[in-house]
Amino acid sequence: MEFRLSQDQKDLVEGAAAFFVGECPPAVLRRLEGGMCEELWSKVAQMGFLGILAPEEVGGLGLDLIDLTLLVEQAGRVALPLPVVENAGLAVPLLAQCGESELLDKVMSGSGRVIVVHPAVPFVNHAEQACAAIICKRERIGVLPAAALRLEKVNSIDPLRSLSRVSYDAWHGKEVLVGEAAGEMEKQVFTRAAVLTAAELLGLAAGMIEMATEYAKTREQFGKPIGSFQALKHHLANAFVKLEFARPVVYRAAALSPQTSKIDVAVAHAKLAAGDAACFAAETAIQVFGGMGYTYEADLHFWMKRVWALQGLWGDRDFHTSRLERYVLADGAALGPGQTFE
Amino acid sequence: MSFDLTYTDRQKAFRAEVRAWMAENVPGQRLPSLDTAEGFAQHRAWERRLHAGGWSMVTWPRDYGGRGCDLIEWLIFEEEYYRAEAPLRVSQNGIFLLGPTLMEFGTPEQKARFLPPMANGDEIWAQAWSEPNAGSDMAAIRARAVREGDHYVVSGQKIWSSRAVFADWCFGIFRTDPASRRHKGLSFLLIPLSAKGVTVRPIEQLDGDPGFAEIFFDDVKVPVGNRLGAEGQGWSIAMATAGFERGLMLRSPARFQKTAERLVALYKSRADRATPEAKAAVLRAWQETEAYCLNTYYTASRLMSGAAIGPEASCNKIFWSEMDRRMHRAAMALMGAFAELEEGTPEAIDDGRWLDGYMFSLAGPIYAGTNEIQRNIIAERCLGLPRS
Repeated sequence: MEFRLSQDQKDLVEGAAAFFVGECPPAVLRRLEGGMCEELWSKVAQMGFLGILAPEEVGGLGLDLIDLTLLVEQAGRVALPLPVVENAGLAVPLLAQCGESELLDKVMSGSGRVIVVHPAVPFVNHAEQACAAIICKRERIGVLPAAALRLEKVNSIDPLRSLSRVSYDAWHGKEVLVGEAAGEMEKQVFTRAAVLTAAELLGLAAGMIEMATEYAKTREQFGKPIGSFQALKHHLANAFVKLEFARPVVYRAAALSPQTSKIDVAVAHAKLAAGDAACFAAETAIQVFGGMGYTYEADLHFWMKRVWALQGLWGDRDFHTSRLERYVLADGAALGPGQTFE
Repeated sequence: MSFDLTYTDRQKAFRAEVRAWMAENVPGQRLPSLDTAEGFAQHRAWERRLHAGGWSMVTWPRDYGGRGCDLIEWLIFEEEYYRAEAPLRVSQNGIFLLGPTLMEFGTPEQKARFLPPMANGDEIWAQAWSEPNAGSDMAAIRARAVREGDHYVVSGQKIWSSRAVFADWCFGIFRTDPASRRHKGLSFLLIPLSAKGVTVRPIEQLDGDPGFAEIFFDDVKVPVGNRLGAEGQGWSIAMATAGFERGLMLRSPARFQKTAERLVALYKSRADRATPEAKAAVLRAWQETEAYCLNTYYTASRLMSGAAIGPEASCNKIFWSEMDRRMHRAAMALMGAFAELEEGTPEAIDDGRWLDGYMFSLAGPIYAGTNEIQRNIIAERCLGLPRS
């Protein structure tokens, strides 16, 4: 039993934090609205971030889902508006496993992006510039070229998401997995996506708490910084506690093997805990910012709207709550002390 | 490998050993409240039995009656302890608070004198922190200890001392420098409650039992050797003790996981009252106790690799105390008209335990430093917000 970050992981977190804060300050978010920053994407690729989950033999870093979870958490802290989860988290391991090396190279090098079309996500982010789509169905997984897709633009409240309804006339592409293997892969895609989305939510929560704390230190009312008032301190402390107790829940989900019997409930717990922490942090932050927080001028809205968007993706609250419910209320459920770990 | 969320074979064997011992030894019937004379005596007997089995304080060194377990083994022990529904620890002030403080700040003589009888239940400790005008504001302490040669003369009053009515000793901080203010000039003293000049007056708690007490010190002579740490160092030692209290030791996850498990069972047994709100509360209880457990293992792993626990201990205290109150409130709602029935009433669900637990849970956000104080600590020391 060992449940802590290794030195390598601490270094990864530190490096990723410095990189994201340096490359993606709020000014970049403002410039990007509605678009995709190719320059930033190339830098993310150069850092090796997109190949984290790919084996070293094919040019990846050969790390695991915990490492990517830590990275995505840091991306969330700056509200990074790029499809890291879809590419590094979903497309890369799938392409590596199916031996789609040409496409894999493209994704890892940053020269091409892939979208993932999955029943848990009705609208796809950044589909316009994708070179291919991975279509996940229960019985088959395939790769379609971008030309085979029809896109219809839909608007998200998050100005940094560029959403489309994606459809295709027929299955023109290449089937890479069928039958049981496809079903298994589809489940794994969902698991990874839900865990990584939870990690992004953790990061968004941390970013908002930091932002609101900084504001509370400098904004003065009644001749004092508002952060010296107990009422505000308590709001921020509550948000901090919620986040601290959500983080190990997400890390546990990332650390469990997808074959573990408890994986679904651990993932549901992670998504719910991180979602709650992020919503709570958003509501706290806007309260701290006051009227300013309700404007487009404060950067807060980028973070807040991303939280609203991610809440409903890869299993919304109802979906994950019913998974939990089935587990907790089952006859003979393994609850109580000593049942958390194997 | 830094993330290995499975128990080692050694840890599994340890769990099996604890489980077997508990199955043999845990009293079949719930003991009376430890806030009554009879209950206190029975709990003391249980402490002795635990000690005889070598389970009194598993993380302590063997020299002091422990078995040198690490924090993960301690958590496993606690899981088995609560799984077996073993009695509450009447020794908790000593073993969880003063014990770790003595190990850190005590002289070899003090450790040898105080730790073994603390572990075997011969000496049960009460804390003498708060005063009528210094509850959460402990730096406002007024009780005095005036040095006269090789002893101090202690006078003043302490309050909210749990179980002092039946306990043998107390520990607390006293003003040794009469000219000092706030947290300076305080010293940490260990005082027998049987000493001449000590009067303990019981205070009935919500349940009518004398769980609290006031302690009056009327020129009590305390040898200088009963001072823990240097003269004037009392505040920083007390803060370390408070850190143990808010941190891992006082409330292990297992206790709350057991409550959540019982809440699920209660929910299932009250199908006619299973409202959507009740269901949501039950699911929340499971999620929160699980999160608390994960967080504790996460902290324990970091501590074992050399990290120190800081103001995060305050997060812990807020989290468990409010979670415990929510779970008991949910149980009270599920029981409806049966919620008011006390222990011993034939119709009382679970023999009135939820009612007891609910009353006790109301104290959680108050003792060990109110949650308002904990929130200030988090805001100022974890987030860096300015002091008011």
